[in-house]
Amino acid sequence: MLLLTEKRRLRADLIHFFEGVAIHIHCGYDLAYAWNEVLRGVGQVMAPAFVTLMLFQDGGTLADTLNRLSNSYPDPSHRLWFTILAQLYMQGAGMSEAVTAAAETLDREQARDLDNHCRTLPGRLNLRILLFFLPPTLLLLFCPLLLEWGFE
Amino acid sequence: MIGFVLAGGILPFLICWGISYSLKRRITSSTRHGRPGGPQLVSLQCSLILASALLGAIIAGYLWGRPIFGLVLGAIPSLCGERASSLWLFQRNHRKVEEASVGFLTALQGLLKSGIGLSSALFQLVESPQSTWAPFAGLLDASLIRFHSGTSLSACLTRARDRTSLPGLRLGLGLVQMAYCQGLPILPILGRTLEWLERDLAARARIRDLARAAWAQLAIAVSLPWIVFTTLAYFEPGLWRHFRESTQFWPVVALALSLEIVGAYSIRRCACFC
Repeated sequence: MLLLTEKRRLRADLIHFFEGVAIHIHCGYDLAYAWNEVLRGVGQVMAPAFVTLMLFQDGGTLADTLNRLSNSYPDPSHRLWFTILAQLYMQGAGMSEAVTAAAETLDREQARDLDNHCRTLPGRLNLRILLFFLPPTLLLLFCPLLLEWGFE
Repeated sequence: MIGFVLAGGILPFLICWGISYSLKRRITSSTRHGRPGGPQLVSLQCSLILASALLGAIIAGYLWGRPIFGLVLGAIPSLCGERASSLWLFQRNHRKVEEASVGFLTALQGLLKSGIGLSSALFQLVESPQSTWAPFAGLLDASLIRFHSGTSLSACLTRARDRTSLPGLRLGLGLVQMAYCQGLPILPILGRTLEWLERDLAARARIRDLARAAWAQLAIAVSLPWIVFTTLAYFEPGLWRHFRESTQFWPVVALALSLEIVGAYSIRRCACFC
């Protein structure tokens, strides 16, 4: 179960990763090559957990990695993209459009999430202030009074 | 006691802090010849703490005959104040660099479109006295200066990437460096980087504004119970004394404090986007 912030961070990394891969494919490189090159080139600025997840494991191929990710990517809502990419890759179809579409969709999702975060933040803050700061005020105000009135 | 604290701790701290703040502003705003927060600043911080402690010891020794208290009282506030002011200055400086990077990269895009190579475009922009992108140009300049001594452009770009804090910019510079090494076209990457950067900056500014309001609310919320408590103690000293002498005093204060700490942590987590 991912925390909301972890989910957003993972999505941001995935967007940047797909953008990098899309640019490589657009320039005529193969998906498997682009995949490794992006991880090698910009892996240092991404979360280490994300890079480990995307790496080819145990000498596997890209098809194996895509299948693994489509079954076990931490955010279930993004597994669909890996399933689509795996199918297209195995059929030998063009990948550029699919990868770009994935990056753009995830990007829009992130922007919607940010909008939602900004819209609901004041309400959530007020709720926390009421929950955590009103009780101490009441406690420090009424405890001396209750003691004075004989409530031990 | 108040006079002792004022003479031994606060006065030396204020004198030294005032001097160091103006020096730090000069150091952090001139990123051209060194990284903000580098050895220059650390030595300044250490000397400020030392000077503040020594001044505290001299004043306290002269006025009260207890230099050791002045030493401690002079060092503690300067340590805390130093850390807070440095953090604030660094954040302000990083923000300036981030904002300047958009203008710089737009100009770089323009130069690349007109057919100039990446290295000459970078040097042309870094050396131009354009104030709008000066903070970012200064940061790049500090990395690109090694190019003249034989370091490859790719290594210089990697160094510049590692010196920035904005994730979008780090990634953008990383992609530009990767494209340069692979011989890929840089213009589409730069275009996408600019889009991310602008969006990233707008999002961060929005979150910062919201967080600022949240911190203001938090400051009021944290101090309110204690203001109420102090007011009660001031106007009803008998009530306060009775409560102070009871067994419930420390548990109630501890409970109020723990609730506030949990609340502050919860608000901090809540204001963070990712």
